[in-house]
Order: sequence, then C-alpha cells, then structure tokens
Amino acid sequence: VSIRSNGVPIEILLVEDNPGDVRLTVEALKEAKVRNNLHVAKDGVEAMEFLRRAGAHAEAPRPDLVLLDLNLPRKDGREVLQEIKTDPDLDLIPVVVLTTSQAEQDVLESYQLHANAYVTKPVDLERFLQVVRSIENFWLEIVRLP
Amino acid sequence: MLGGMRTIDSSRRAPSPASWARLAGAVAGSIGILALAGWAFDVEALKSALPGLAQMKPNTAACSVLSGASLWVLARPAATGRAGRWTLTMARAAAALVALIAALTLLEYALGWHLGIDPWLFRDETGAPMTSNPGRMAPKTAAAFVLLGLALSALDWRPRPRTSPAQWLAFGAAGISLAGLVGYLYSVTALYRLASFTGMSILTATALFAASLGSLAARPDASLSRVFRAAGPGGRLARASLPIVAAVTLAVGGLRLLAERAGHLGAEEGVAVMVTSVIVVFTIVLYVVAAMTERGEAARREAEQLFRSAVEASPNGMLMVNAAGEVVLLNRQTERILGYSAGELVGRRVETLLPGHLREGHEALRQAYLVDPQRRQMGAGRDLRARHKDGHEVQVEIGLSPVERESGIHVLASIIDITERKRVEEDLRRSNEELERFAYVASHDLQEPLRMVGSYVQLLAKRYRGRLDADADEFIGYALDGALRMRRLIEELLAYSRVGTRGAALRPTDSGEVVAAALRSLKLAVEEAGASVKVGRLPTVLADPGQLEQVFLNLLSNALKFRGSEAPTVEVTAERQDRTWTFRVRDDGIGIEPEYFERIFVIFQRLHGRNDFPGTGMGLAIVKKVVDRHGGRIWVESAPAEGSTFSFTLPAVEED
Repeated sequence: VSIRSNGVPIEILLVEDNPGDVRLTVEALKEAKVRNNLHVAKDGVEAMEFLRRAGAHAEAPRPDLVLLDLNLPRKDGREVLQEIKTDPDLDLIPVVVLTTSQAEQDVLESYQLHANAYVTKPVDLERFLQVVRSIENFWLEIVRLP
Repeated sequence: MLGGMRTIDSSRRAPSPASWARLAGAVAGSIGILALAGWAFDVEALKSALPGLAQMKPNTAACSVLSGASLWVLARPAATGRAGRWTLTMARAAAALVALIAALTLLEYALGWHLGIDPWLFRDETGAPMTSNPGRMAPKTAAAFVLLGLALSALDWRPRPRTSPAQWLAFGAAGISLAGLVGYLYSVTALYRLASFTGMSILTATALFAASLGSLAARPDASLSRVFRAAGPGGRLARASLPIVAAVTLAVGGLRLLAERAGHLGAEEGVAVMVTSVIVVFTIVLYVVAAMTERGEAARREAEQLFRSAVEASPNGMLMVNAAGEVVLLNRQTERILGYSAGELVGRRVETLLPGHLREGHEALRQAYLVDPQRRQMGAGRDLRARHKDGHEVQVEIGLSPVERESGIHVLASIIDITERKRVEEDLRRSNEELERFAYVASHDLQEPLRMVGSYVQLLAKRYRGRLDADADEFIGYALDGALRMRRLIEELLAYSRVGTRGAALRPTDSGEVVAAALRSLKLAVEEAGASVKVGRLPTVLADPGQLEQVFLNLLSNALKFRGSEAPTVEVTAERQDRTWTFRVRDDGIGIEPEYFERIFVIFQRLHGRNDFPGTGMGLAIVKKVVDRHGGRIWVESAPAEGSTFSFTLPAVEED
C-alpha cells in the first residue's frame, strides 16, 4: 500500500504543552505499526518555527501529520490552525486537532476553521491507544488519496 | 346579586315607556276618529258614548286625532335623515295646531267672538245636551288641549338638563281630564262642566287623560317621569304608593257620596268620615310601603356594604371605574400597589394610573370594552404596566368584569402586582443559567487532570500488573475504578449542562427510528440481560432527535439494568391525546417505592448501592431536562417488585 509503511518512518509533529499527554502519546506510538518519528513543540510559537524551519529548527523535517492541542501558551491552537491553513506552503499538511471535550470542538467549529479531523482526548488508556491507531489509519487514508 | 349592582342581563325587558306612550296615542287618536265618524254619519253613540251625555265636538275630535298622531310619532323618534326630521317637524306642528285651536276657542268664550272655527268641520244643530255654543269645544277641554298641545310641541325642550316644562304641562292636562273622569264616575257635573258652558264629553276626558299620561311616558328621563322611574328608594316609594292612593281616594270618595245620597250621612258627617278614613288608610298605606321600601333599602345597603367589604378584603387590588373612565372605588391593596390614597384617586381618570406612552390609546380601548363588556383578562398576554404615584412602573396582571350599578355600567378591575413574581422568575432563570455554565466549565476543566490520573493508572495496570505485589494490584484497581467513575460523572454532567445550551431545533422526528437507534446502541446490554423488547407503533413527533435518543437510551438502559432475577420484558408504546403523544417505557423489573417517584428525577440522586446497580444518578435528570425542554412532562408509575412505567409527553406534529 504505502511505500512508507515498510520503509521510511513518518514524521509527526505533536504540539502539546502538557508533558503527561506528550509521554502518553510517545507510549502509544511505541505500539504503533507504522514507524514514526515524533517531534514535540511545547507552544504555538515553537510549532510555527518548526513548520517554517525557523530559528533552532532550521534542520526540521517537514511533518507528514500535525497533532495539535488547542490550549497552548503564547500562541494557541486556533491561531496555529489558522496560520497553517492560510499558508500555501503548509496548507496541505493534515492537521488533527486534539480537544479536551466535545464541547470544545463545537466552539472550534463555530470559528469555521478547517481542521482535517477532530479527536477528543479520551480519558482511558485503551481508548487513547485506539485513537492513535485511528490516527495511523487516517494518515494511511490520506496518503492513499491520489 | 349585589343590591344596587346587577350583572348585566338583557333577557328580561318590560314593555318600554315609549310603547306605552304609543298605545296612549293610539287610544286618543281612535276615540277622535270614531267621534268624527259619528259626526259624519250622525251616530250619536260615537259622539257622546251614551245618550244625554255631553258630546265630543268636531274640533275636539280633530284635536284628539292630531294629538294622538303627534304622540305616536314623538314617542319613538327613531327615524333620522331628512324624512325623519320632516316627520318630527310635522308632529310638532300638529301639536301646535291643537294648542292654537284650543286657545282660539278659549278666546271665543272669553271675548264672546265668533271666529268661524266651530262649524268648520261639521254643523252642530242647536239643542244638543250640555251645549252653550253649538259645535264649540268645551272650555275645560280647550284648556286641557292648550296644555297638551304645548306639551307635545315642546316635548324635547330642556331649559336645564333633565328639566322638561312639557312634563308639567302634560301633568296639568292630565289633572283637568282626570277631574272630568271623576265627575262622570261620581255624577258630579261641575267637575266636567264649567258653569252653564258646554261640558267635556266622557270620550274627550278619556282621550285627553290617555294622551297626557302618554306624553309623560314619552320622555321617561325627564322631570316627573324620571322620579317615578328611579331605581332608588324614592322611585320605589312613588311607584308603590300612587296606585294605592288613587284607588283608595276614589273608593272612599265614592262611598261617601253613595252614603250621602242615600241619606245615611249628612254633609258635615260626610267630610268628617272621609277625612278620618283617608288619614287612617293613608297612614296604613304609607306605613306598609315605607316599611317595604326600608327593608329593600336596608338589604341594598347591606349588599353594598358586603360588596365593599369583599372588595376591601380581596387580596388583589380592586378598582372600579365608571363609563366615563373615572375612578369611583378602590381598596387598600390598590392604594398599596399604586401609592395613591383613595381620596387622591376617586374622581380622577383611570389614565392617571398608566405610564405616559400608554395613556393616549387607552380611552379607545376602554370604549371598545364597553361595547361588549365581558369578564376577561386585560392585555391578552402582553406585559401590563401601571404607573406608581412616585413615577416608577409596576408590572401588573389585570382582570376586568362589567358591573351594572344604578348610575350605569362600571368596570371592576382586579389588579395583581406581579413585580415580585417577575423578579423571582428572572432570578431563577439567571441562577439556572449560572448553574448550567458552572457545570459546563467545571466538568470541562476537570477532564484535563482526570485524564492524567486515569491514563497513567491504566498504564501502570497494563505494564506492571503481577510484577509488583498483590496489594499494589488491588490499590491500582481501586484507583482505576475511581478514575473511570469520575469520568462517567463528568461526561454526564457535561451532557446535562448541554441539554439546554446545545440542543438542536425541534423538528418532526420519527420516534420509531430513534428507538431503533437507541436499541442498536444497547444491543450488548439487551443480549446480556436476555431481555425481550417490544416496540409498538411509534409516531412522528416534534423533537430534537439527538436528545430524544438520549431519553430512550437512558430509559431503556434503566429498564434493562434494574431487572429482577428473571429475563426482563421491556415495552415501548405511544398513545395520542389531543395535541400530545404520551410515550411509555414499561419494564417488569424491581420497581420503585412511591416515596422516591420525585427524587429519582433529581440530579445525582441514586436509590441503590453502586455494587448492586452501577450509575451516576444523572440519567433520569438528563431525561427530565430534555423532556422539559420539549415542553413535555415526565412521571413514573411503579410498585416494588412489579416493574416501573416511565411516561413522558411530547408535542404531536400537526397533520395539516
């Protein structure tokens, strides 16, 4: 199917300030079928620098997938999403928005920002692992697209 | 019945005074016409009733016809427009002609003239009974016709409001003709014949008497008639006494005459007996009539007093307004609500009590109400506001009832100050909103740390179960259980707070499909319980489909959860009443004690230990909130060990 599923690892940028969630994502991706490199940005400003290869991130790879938390210091997830989707160099990168609750997703949708998917962070581990698996599948779906 | 106050009842109506007046006119006119016929065809009985009595002379008969016709028209001057005005003018002119003929006749008598008006219609041969001048109207008759003619031609003249000279003129004519009638009754010639001049015919006396009374009745709102027709004690006294006084006087006088003529009484004795008996009889009559009137008056005053105390004791403000819009009565509650004392308000226009911008239109509304006065709420659901004496506006509810009093129709307004109620409603609404917001924010912000606790305890369990000791496994187990329970609580709290704020619009929804979807989600639970679920024919209702599914999910999962030892049977049915559908979810489970019927719908209320039946106590609270939002009602019927039936109502979709 995908050339990468058996060779080159996919590059994932996780934009998340909560170390607990970062570690959990790391643990979950350890069990993933797809080889991956996880990069972490701790706030919105750092995320944009990574994406634009600015400052300390001059050598950063272009991510194949962005996992974006909404509540971030300095520059929050809504602004990051807005900048990615209005930047012609970045707007093709799939963005999965991680929300704390269904309610937060309602609010976000009301802003008319177009994320590729919304995922509510689940409270229990099994479901979190499922989410990661579904993100994998989602990514595989994306790259299958012509 | 409130003494002087009656609720309006238009069904019973005595013949109106105008009808009596017309009847009198017809009587006078007919007598005149018959007499004229008598002259034309020389029928003596039509001229004088009995042979040997005075005749109704041709002019007298003509005057009688003219007066009768005039009275007929004037009694009910309904016709308007040019023709109507012309008819009225003709009627007054006819009356004036009567007065003129009669006045000329008097002049003839007084000055010895011959004006040629006597033989104008028919010739009268000399030698007729009681005739001084052939063909000439009797002087008494002439005097009476002068008064009657003037009365009819000036029937609507009011030098002062309600003062009518016509009434006194007619009264005079009535007096002269009554004397004539009494004269014939007692056979006393002097009463109908002046000296040796021509005498008044009994026909003339009858016609004149009828026409005079008719003239009085034709304008019942003026002078004499008004007093006799008054609803008050004076009017009642006058109406009750008059016929008795007339009958008694006539009878006593007649008896005295009979006795004198038979030689049983001398003249002095006769006067003494008559005076005594009149005084005695009048005293008795006056006593009886006055006592009756007084009793009626006392009852009326008591009713009025009762009415006032009822108004005063009313917990609502009561305000009575007359047809002109002036305040006539108010109770202390009204004083309290509006800040005015009764003294300040009585006699002022009710518009004083309205906020400035509402005053202008109010008079028209008031008039419209009086056209068809019915007991009803004022304002038809709009917010009503009154203006307090100090200028601030008071929110009120007002009920209106028409009340008929002696002085005309009044409107009784019942006023409730709802400022406090509105404030409490507003407070409740705000506090509900705040609670919802709080639940939302709290549950949302609690999720973040909870995720950390839950996920890492699970990670611990996943990686280290069996690698630490047995105690550690148990501790991890409890921590995990707590975290999972808290997660459900928060999720449901969030769901509860979102019912009001995040609901979709109500739209026609196939409840059968909704129940099917709920049952698909519950497939596992149904199988696990070994339950048989029966779903009846379900209608399309007005609902938010997502929330309706939550309702069925909760009710059905409860029905499966609270089952007895045997495999449960669950039934879903619906039944229509008017514009609502009542849904029922019936189970044969453990049932509920009646004392808990209300509590189970309250947030976080649980009836069972969580080891018996797990749950957060939120499910039915969410169900109730959804049903409330749909304008429905939810209740439960149940008995322990006999199962429960949860019923709720939803609005039907109108077919057309």
